[in-house]
Amino acid sequence: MRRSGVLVYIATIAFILLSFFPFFWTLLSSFKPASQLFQINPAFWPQPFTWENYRAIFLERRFYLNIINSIVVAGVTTCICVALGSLAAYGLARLAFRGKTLILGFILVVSLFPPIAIVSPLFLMFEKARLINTYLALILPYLTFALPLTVWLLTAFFRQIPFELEEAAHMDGAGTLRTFWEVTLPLAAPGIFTTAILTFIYCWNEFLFALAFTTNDASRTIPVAIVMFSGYHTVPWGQILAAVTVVTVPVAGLVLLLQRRIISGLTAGAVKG
Amino acid sequence: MAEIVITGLSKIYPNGAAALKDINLTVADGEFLVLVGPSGCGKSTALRCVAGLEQPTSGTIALGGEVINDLPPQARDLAMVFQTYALYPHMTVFENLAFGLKMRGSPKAELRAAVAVVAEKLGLSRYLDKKPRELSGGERQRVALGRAIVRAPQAFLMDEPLSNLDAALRVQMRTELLKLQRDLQATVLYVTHDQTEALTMGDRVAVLYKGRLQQVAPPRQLYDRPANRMVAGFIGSPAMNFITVRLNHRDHGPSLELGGQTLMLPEDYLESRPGLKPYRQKNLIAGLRPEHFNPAFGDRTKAPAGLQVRVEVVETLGPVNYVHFSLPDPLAGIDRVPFVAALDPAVPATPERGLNLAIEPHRIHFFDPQTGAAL
Repeated sequence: MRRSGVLVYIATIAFILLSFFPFFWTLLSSFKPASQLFQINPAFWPQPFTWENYRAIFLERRFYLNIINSIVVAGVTTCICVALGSLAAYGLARLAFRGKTLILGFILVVSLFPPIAIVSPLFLMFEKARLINTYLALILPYLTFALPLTVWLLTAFFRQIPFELEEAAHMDGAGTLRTFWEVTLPLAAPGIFTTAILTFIYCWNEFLFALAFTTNDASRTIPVAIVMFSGYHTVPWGQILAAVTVVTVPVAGLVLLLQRRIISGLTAGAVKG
Repeated sequence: MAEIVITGLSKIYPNGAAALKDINLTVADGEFLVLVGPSGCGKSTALRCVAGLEQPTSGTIALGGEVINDLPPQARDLAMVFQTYALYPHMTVFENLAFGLKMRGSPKAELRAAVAVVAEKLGLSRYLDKKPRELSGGERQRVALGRAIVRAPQAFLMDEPLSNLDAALRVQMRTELLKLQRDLQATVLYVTHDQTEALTMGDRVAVLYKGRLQQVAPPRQLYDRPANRMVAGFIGSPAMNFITVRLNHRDHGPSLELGGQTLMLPEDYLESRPGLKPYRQKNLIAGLRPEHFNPAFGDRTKAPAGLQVRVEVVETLGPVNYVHFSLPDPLAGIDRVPFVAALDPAVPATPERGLNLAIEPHRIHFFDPQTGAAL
């Protein structure tokens, strides 16, 4: 018992070190001057410590524009996804109607569609509609691919909520929307947060559509912007590492923040007894 | 409080299955009416139709003289207590109790006062800040009741509210619930599958079987004069024993051919039971309640009606023994029909031994073999 406990502990620490090291190395390296990055025997600590890479991406490259783009696109997509997805999922979970399985299957098929196959037609459409380099050009395709996942996840979550709770709310005098707002939604909160995190991360990391539908530095999202740092002759590793550090921190923070909500939501949702 | 009048209520599902057929039932103002029946008989469907959670196929439901068929559940001013309690897990006891009033837009102060009164009445004042998951089964049950009471609705609907409690608590809550109902002079439609609950709690009891109302009567009448074989078999524990008998009427008076034995009946038996006259020299179903058997000592001619049986199993319950035996039913072509007699523990009943039993002739129930109607 005790020995296996120690083993689990060691294994966990090893796993954390292993998976955390690349991040840690990225963080350290982002503070190193260019000369030190290409040293044959790499030094562990930045020597001398420098903010130069950060200064360069924010002041020379206006990287904050890309961050704003990413936040807006991912944020708006997530909000719409959760709002539409929870309504659709609620209907699919609660109402009995013909062809429900078919609809769920159809929704799943949409997400199985290879994005690369629709990049060119979409580009032509968006160009005609003068959407290239706008937020909408990214939000629309992101919605199409993120919504199926949202609907599926939330349908499963809504199904777990006992229907009797909603009936009780009706008997207590709450209308359909009021019931959804006061009873169903709070109980589905863990599911909604999980879905929101997954959707946000999907949009935050998406590369293909972002690359195709943005053509200037000011309208790019983070992943594309970072790739565009590289010129014909040079790859500014220091700046790339600094940018990666800057964009990882908010996502990690968001996950940690919402994770707490997920856990508290899960225990609050306990109905059985 | 108001009365509930159900008229011609039917519920037929799209697949053609009929859950309810032409139910007519009135729950008087201030009455505790129990709707009882075996599982799947449609009693919950009936309750849910009254609640508005299901739409009847035909028929009307009126509350206090107003037809409420077209009103959604939230507009019906009925409170429902669910079998699983259905407490809102993310709200405290206070919020659970206050939810109904909050939905109706009661002022904060009024709401607080109403919740305090109900919490006091149900002994929940100490738990107001707790979440349902921190409460025991009995406490949750009280919260569920309190949530219904706090709104002072027109009537209460209860769907097996005690069935999730353990046996001792259930008996205790039965009396508490009744006391509460008397206090509030509440109109209650109460659904259960437990006939003991039905008999002990109901002012009147409605027995539902296969979607049809079999009988609506006060508990005593239901037990003494069941309308048909179904009600007779459902009400009473252990259940009534049924066997095919033949009513003979010869020179020496009426007698019953029962399980290959002959039971003598009083001379004027058919005069006191005129319903039996058409069945002379015919087969019919006799129903014998276990608790109506008595030991017959010695002189068989003196005993009102004697039966010789062979004891198979004796169950000791303390105040009473359940003596199991079986009789052949040659009239129906069945070898063995199981019987139970509830006898005083002082009666010497031993497995594998013979026993003489007597039953008062006027306590025998008779049913038509085809329709099952009581005679």
